Amino acid sequence: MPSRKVKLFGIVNVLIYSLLLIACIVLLKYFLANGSRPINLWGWVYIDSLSVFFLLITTVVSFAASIYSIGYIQAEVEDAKISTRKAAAYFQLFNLFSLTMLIVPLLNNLALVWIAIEMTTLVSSFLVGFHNTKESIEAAWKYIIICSVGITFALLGIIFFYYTSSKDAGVKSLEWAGMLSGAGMFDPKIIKLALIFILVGYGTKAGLAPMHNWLPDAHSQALSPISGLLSGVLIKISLYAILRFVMLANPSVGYAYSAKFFILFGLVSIVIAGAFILVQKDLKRLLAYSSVENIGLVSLGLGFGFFGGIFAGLLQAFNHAVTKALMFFCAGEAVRSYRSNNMNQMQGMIKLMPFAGIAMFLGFFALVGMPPFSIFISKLSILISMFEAKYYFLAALTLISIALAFTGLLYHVSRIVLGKPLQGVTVKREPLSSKIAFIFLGIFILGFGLKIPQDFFDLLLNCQHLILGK
Amino acid sequence: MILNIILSGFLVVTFLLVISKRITALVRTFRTQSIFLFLYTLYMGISQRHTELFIVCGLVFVLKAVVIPFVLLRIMRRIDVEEDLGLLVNPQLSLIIALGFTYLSYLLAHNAMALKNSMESAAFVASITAVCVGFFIMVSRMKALGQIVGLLVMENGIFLAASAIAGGMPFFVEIALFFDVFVFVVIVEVFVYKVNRLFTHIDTSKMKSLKG
Amino acid sequence: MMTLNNVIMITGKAVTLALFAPLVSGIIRKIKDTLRMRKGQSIFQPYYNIRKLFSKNEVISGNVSWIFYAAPVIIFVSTACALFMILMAQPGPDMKNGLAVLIAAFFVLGLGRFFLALAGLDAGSSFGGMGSSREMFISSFAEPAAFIAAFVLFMGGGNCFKISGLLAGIAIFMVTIAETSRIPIDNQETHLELTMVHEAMVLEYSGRSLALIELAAHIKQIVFFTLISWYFFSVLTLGCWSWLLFSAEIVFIGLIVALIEISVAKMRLFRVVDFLSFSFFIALVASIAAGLGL
Repeated sequence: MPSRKVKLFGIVNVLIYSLLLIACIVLLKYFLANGSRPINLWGWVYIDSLSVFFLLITTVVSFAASIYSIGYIQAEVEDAKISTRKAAAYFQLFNLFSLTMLIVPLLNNLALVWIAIEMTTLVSSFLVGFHNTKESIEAAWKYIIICSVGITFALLGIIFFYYTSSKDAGVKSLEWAGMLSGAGMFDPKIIKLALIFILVGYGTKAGLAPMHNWLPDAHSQALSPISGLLSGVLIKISLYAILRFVMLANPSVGYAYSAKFFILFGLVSIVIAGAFILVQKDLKRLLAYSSVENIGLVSLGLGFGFFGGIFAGLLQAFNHAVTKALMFFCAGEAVRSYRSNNMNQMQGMIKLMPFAGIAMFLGFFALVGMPPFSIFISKLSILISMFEAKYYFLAALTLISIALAFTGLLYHVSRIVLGKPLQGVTVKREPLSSKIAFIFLGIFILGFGLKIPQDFFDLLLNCQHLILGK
Repeated sequence: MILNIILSGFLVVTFLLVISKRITALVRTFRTQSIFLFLYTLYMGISQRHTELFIVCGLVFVLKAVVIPFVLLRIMRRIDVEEDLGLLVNPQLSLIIALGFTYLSYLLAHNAMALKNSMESAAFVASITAVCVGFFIMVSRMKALGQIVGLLVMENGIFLAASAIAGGMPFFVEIALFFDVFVFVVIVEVFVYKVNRLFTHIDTSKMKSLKG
Repeated sequence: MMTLNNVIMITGKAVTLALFAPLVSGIIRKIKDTLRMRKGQSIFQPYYNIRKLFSKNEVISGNVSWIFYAAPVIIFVSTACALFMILMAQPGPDMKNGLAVLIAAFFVLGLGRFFLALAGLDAGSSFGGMGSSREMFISSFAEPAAFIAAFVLFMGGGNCFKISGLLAGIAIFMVTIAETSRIPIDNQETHLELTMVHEAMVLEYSGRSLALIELAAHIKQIVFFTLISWYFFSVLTLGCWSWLLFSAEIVFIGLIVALIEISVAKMRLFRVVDFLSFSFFIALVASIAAGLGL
């Protein structure tokens, strides 16, 4: 039977990603035991706290997505929506996509980081347009074009960095360690200009408004496991690239300059996303706009770096990655059962698919920041840092937008999960792999909400010190 | 003096890009721009005598002046769409806007970058004009191929900027960037075929089903 | 400076150039025919044409006014004046009012064009009116470009080593194609009235008037070729052989024009707007570059 072959692919995949996850955790322990000193291998690989953190996000969510993929793709093959050959192509693309995202935090050379990020766009566009429908190809096209323009601007910023590095600091290479050592002598005027290009360019890929137009289309049209990866990991990886350049700019320009832009982009993202969430009809689009809002929150947190905001922002990045992955996987189950993306046709999930229904309901609470889940901690920390910085008006605006998003999500999700199922809807049970994926992600959401592991805490503190340049 | 001729040619061809009304005209003008880029890199290579610059120069020619225009023109032959580029902004207004970009890039070169050498500043102005014109073409042309060519023009401009102010990027970075552009064109070619098969046109202004 | 010596030299130059103007047209025609694998006319054919026309009687419509009689003379005289003024305005250490004289030359050429257009309308034929309106349309785009390119010349951009000079040279080249009625703007060899611009205006003329108008067209071509040579060849000086060099430059420009004529198709009228507005903007960019000292 064709679906058995798919199951075999999937299980091999999961084994690989579990190995990767274990390797990442081992790396974390080894790194912290070594006093958090950066690891520099052969000049090509450079690992410091920031790299380890983003690697952790990538491996955790990839592992969960690989588990979820098994059941999802199996169901698609059984429903005859895609052939076995296309399922095999899916796994190949999935692995290629994860590979490109995994190597970004590891690379030393900033141009190679740029190329890896461009590759993520190109590979994931195939996954966005996987079903070859009109909407998905339109979404894939928009995704490719807008993200490629964005990172082309980022390339211009990289060239300005290289120019000032070779002219003023005498470092004629794009290697991170070398550039960091000469960063004190960069020309502030050029760096200010370059940072704008980098922020706008990589910010497009990170989903910061007003460059976020591709995000709702791409994340809603992609396959659900890939949506989880896109929303959870890819936009954080772009943020990683921005942070690398901010760290390079700190000695010459100072963190306050970048902080202004983080606050600006973050605020605009939150407000726009909050407004759009209220009028959504498509479940996955709703979740995509929630991603825009959350990345805006992360950016806002990063903007208040001097008041502990970086810690809060990065924590929010991790928590959102895990929670959004969970939500997208639940949405995948819902879409598969109800055979449509439209939320008006989804009702009473808790009666038809109890496990997925409960997971979605709890995931919704986690997403909007209810205790005892993890996003509560990180959102609260970001707001605390805003209050400590005495930006009361901005904090009030943020709270209003978060409340708007909460209202929108509450209305839609409660209608989907609770309520009477419509007539004549029969669904199959969720596959076992979906349940395993939900439980795995739930451990992180609940666990980090109750107590953040000490290693992780230390890692985030290190990242904060690194970025602030202390 | 030769550098002046090459840079003037590059600038004139960049302006020719904004007044192209047909897709094949746009692609051929892009090819001419790549040839001027090749001549610029060749001149730099001869005056600095680095073998690496010659290799980069050869790559510019093979990739941007031969292969990529060939691929784009092949797309035009295979998909059966009309040649009209679908201008959202008429050619004369586009030229005025391109003129504004030139002035903007001059301001950037003079104030922000404070480039002293006049040759560097001239090349930098031409390159930033090309980047802005590429972006403008992407935004103001309705057909999908117009957007692709706009992106490629932006890459041309960035390459020229790197050559002008920084003497070119480190060697293997250039190689990697060329590879990346090539992969981009290949993948986008696949997508244009997909778009054409599904929509029977490649008019992105008509792809409006995803809203809100 | 207006010394007698200068004036005599310039007059001599102007007369010589005017005498050789039809030869240049003949050479361009011969190049085109050779490249089209034909034997073609001899290079002195324009002279034979003019001599023939001078010896013929004129056939004049009964509905014409004084403009019909006056126009050929005005056209010829204005073009000859323009030639004289161009030679006076040559940029160099002597001439301080060069820009003013050059602009006056453009306006004098405009006077000739004005009367040509009126003459086309005068006989009351529809083809003449069509030619006149097209000519005015084309010149309304060509003249601003020519002016801005002239400004660039005197802003220090008249050097082909500079970007401003190259760009202004390209602009003035495109204007030349428009003013000398060459493909891709207008076809001198066509006999289809619906495609004519310059020929349509002079359709009613014959005999001596037509000879004057043809001679004026040859001289106008020389005027513009001289203008082009200032942009591209100004740095080449060979002292006492400068006349030979100048002739070689004119013939070279004619060769380029001939090559363009046989390789490009004539543009539709509304595309002429794109072509000439492009030359206007290139001239603007040249002026910006000249202002920056590039």
